[in-house]
Amino acid sequence: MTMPPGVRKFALTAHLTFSVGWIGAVVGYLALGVAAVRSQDAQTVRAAWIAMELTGWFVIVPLALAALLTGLVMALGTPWGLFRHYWVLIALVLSILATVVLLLHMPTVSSAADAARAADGADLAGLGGDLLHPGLGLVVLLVITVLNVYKPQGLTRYGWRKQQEQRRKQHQQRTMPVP
Amino acid sequence: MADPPRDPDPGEDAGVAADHGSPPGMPRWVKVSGIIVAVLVLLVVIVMLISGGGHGPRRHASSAGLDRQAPLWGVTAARTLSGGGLGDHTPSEASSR
Repeated sequence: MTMPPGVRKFALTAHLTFSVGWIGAVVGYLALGVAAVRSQDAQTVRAAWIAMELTGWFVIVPLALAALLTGLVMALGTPWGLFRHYWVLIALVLSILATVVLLLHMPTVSSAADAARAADGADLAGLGGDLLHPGLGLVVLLVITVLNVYKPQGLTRYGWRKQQEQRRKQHQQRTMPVP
Repeated sequence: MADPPRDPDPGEDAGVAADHGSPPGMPRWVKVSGIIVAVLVLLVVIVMLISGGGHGPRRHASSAGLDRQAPLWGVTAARTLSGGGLGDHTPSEASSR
């Protein structure tokens, strides 16, 4: 089912907003993670962990789910399809992977934030930071962005079959005798 | 996904010659990206094995809570994969260690 142009533009605007917002939120989370690792000040480390938990649950997770959902709508509501082009398929797999890892990781962030709330200065220093997950996540999100902008060519077998069917239908319509 | 898909010539599309009778092969950019990702994943696995494992069950076995020696990210997957959850961990446990 193809969306009408007005709906498609609205869906695209929403998808772009959520996707770019997701990247920005991860960059902000990384800044907090760096502060948690580098700062010698107990208050800063505690504040960073609490802010990381809040940013994660109330900004990054909703943005990730919204970006994934609007991405599905965009793929299914346009001629691109979900499984027809390699770049769409790879972007979908990477988005799902990033969202799943995020959802699996967040409970540990909450646990660390709880520990940071209760810990004193010496224990806070031992908490460290959280840089690997957001760092790798940011790389994955940038790869998805590049795929969405460049749209490298390449039909999957399924996409090729659909294209052939479409061409056959068009050919039949053209050659059909007019009564 | 703003622009509608182009409808290129069969030969132009996949990088591998494709006439109307046979499906196109996998494009070169997919193959190259796949190889790069496979190599990177392999490297990460090797580094984790050498360094004692960041996500493996071994680390989980050695840390019941937020181990101060272990990087935080190492605890995550081990807990999640083992299904241990976070209910068995209290902040005081971690802070008292």
